[in-house]
Amino acid sequence: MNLNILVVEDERHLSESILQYLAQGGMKCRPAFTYTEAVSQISANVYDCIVIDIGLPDGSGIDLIKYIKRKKLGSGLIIISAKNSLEDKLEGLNTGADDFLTKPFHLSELNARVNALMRRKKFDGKNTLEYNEIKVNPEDKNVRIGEKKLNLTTKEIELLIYFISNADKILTKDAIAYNLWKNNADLAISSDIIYTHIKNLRKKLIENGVKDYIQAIYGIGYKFGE
Amino acid sequence: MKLLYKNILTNTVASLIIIFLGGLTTYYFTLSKIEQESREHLLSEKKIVEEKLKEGVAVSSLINNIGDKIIFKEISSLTGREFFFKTIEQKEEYEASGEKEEEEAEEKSIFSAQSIVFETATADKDYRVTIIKSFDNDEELGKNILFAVTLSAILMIITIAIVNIFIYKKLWKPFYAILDELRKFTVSKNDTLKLPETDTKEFNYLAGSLTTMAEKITYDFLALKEFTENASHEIQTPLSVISSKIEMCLQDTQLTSQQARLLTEASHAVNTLANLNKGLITLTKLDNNQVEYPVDVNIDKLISDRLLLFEEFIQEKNISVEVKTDKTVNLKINPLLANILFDNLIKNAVKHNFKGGEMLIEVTKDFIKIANTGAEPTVNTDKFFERFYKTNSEDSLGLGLAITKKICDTNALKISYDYKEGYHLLTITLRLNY
Repeated sequence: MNLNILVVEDERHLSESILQYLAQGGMKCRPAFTYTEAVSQISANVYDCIVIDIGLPDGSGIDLIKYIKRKKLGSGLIIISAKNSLEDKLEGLNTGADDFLTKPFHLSELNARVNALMRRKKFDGKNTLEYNEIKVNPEDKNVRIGEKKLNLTTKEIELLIYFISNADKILTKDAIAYNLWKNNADLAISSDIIYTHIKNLRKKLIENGVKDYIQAIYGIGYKFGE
Repeated sequence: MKLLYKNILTNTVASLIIIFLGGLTTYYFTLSKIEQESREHLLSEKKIVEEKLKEGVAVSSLINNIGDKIIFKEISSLTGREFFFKTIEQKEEYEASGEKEEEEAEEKSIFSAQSIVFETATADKDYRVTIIKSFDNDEELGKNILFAVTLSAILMIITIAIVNIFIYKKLWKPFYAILDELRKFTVSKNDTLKLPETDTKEFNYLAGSLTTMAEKITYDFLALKEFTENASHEIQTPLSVISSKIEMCLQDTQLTSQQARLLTEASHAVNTLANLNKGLITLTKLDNNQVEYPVDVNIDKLISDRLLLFEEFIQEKNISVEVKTDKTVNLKINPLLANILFDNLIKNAVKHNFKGGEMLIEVTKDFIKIANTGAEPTVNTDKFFERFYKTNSEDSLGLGLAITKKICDTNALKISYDYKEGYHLLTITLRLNY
C-alpha cells in the first residue's frame, strides 16, 4: 500500500522508531513533534492516516482530532496514549478516532493496526490482503490459495493477517501474544498455545501447497517471509 | 461504655464516698457535742447539789429532782479526789452505777449515758455523789443520721444523673453533629468538610482543627493522586522508547542469534514492567476509590462472557468446566471492574490448574465460588492477597489477587481463599451487596 502517514509524537526517539518501522513496510511517513507542527502539516499535505499522541507539549491530541474532524479531512486516526484509562479511550474514540493503542506498544502491533485501518477506510473492507499466492479477506474471514478456500480458525486467520502485515519482520512471542489475546497475553506466553496455533496454521498452509513462509527463530519468536 | 454512663458512674462513686465519710463525721461530731453539753449540764447540776446541801437541804429530797438519777453513797471520810466523768454503757450498769469501779465502764466505746462522780460533805456526813444523765436515745440518733445521709445520697445521685443527661443531651449535641459531618466526609469525592458552628469554644476549636486537617488531607490526597498518575504515565513513555528500540534492533539482519535472544529477553522484561505499571495504576485508582459508576451486572451472563475469552486456554489445558449459576443474581459494580475481577479469577483457575483438571464455578444469592484443581500451595496462603506476593509461578506479577481483593473491598464484598481436597477455592461472599 502506498500510504501517507503523519506521526504526531513529541518523544523524538519513539517517533523515529515508528517512522522507520512503518517506512520499512512501504509507507510514506512524516513526523510532527508538536500540535502546531501537526496542524501545519495537515494543511499542507493529505494524509491517509494520522497517528496521534494525546499528550503533546503545546496541546492535546484530542483537540487535534477535533480539529481534523472539523476540517473533514477523512484521514484515519489512531491514538497512542500513555494513559490507558477508560475515560481517555472513550473520549478519544467518541471524538472520532478509529483506534486506540496504549503505550508501550509493539511496533508490529501499530503497523498491523494502521494496515487494518487503511484496508477498512480506503477499500471499504473489500480489499484483500495478499502475500504471493495467499489471499486473505479480513472482512469475511476468508483465506484462499488460488481458487481454493482454506478452512482456518478465527485465531489462525488473525495470526495470518498479523504475519502478512508484518512480513519479513521478526516477531517476538510477546508481540504475537498481545496481538491475539490482548489482556490475556500473559496466559498465552506462559502456555504453548502460540506454538500450537502457529504449528496448525503452518501445517494447513503447507498441506495446501503454500511455501513454508513461517520461520521459527529459537528463543526469539517467528518470522513470516521468504 | 458511653461517656454519659462513665460520667454518671464516676460521679456516683465519688459522691457515695463523700457521703459515707460525711455521714460518719457528722455522727461522731454530733455525739461529741452532745457529750460535751451533757458534761456541762452535769457540772451545773453538781453545783446545784453542792449549794443545796450547803443550804441544808436533805439528801432524800434531792434524789428525785436532780438529773435522771442521783446516787448518794456515804463514805467514811473524804478522799480528796477530784470529780470525774464516767460514761455508762448498759442498762444494768446504768442501774447499778455508783457501785462499780470506773475502769469497767471505760472499756465500752459506745455510751448511752454520762455521769459525774464527786465527793461532797454535809454537816454530818460525807458522800460520794453520782449524777447520771442519759442522752437522748443514741440509737435513734444513729438512725436519724443514717436516714438523712441515705436520703441526701439518693437525691444527690438522682440529681447527678439528671444533670449529666442534660449535659450529655444539650452540651454534647454539637459534638455529635461534628462527628456526623466527619463520617460523611470522603477525601476522594473532593468535597469540603463543613462543620456546624457552635457556641462552645472547645467545639469550635475542634471543628476548626478538623477543618484545617481535612483541607490538608484533601490537598495531600490530590497531590499524591496526581503524582502517582503522572509518575505511572511518565514511565510509560520511556518504556515505549525502549520497547520500540529493541524491536527495531531485532530486525537487524546482522544480529547474531545470541544477541537476538538477549534482546528478546530484555523486551520481555520491558513488557512485564509495563504490565506491572498498568496493574499499579489500576490499584492506585481502586485505592483512591476513583472508580465509580456502578450498574447492575448479571453474574451469570458475565461469567459466560468472560469464560469465552479463555476458551482456547481451557481447551489447550483440557480443563473441564462446570458452571452452576443462579441466573437472577446481580451485582452492583462498575462493569469494567467486574470484568477485571472475573478475568483474574478465571485466569488464576486456568493458570494454576493441571492439564486435564477441573474448574467449578458456583453462584448463589449468598456467594460466588470458583474452585479448581491444582497443586497444593507450598507457601503461606494468608498472604495470597498481598501485593507482589508470588507463588512459584515465574510469570506471575503478584498483582492479580491484590487487584481482585481490592475490587472486592471497594464493592463491600468479602473474598477468601482455601485449599481443600486438591482444590483451590476462592469464595466471594455476597450478602453485603445485592
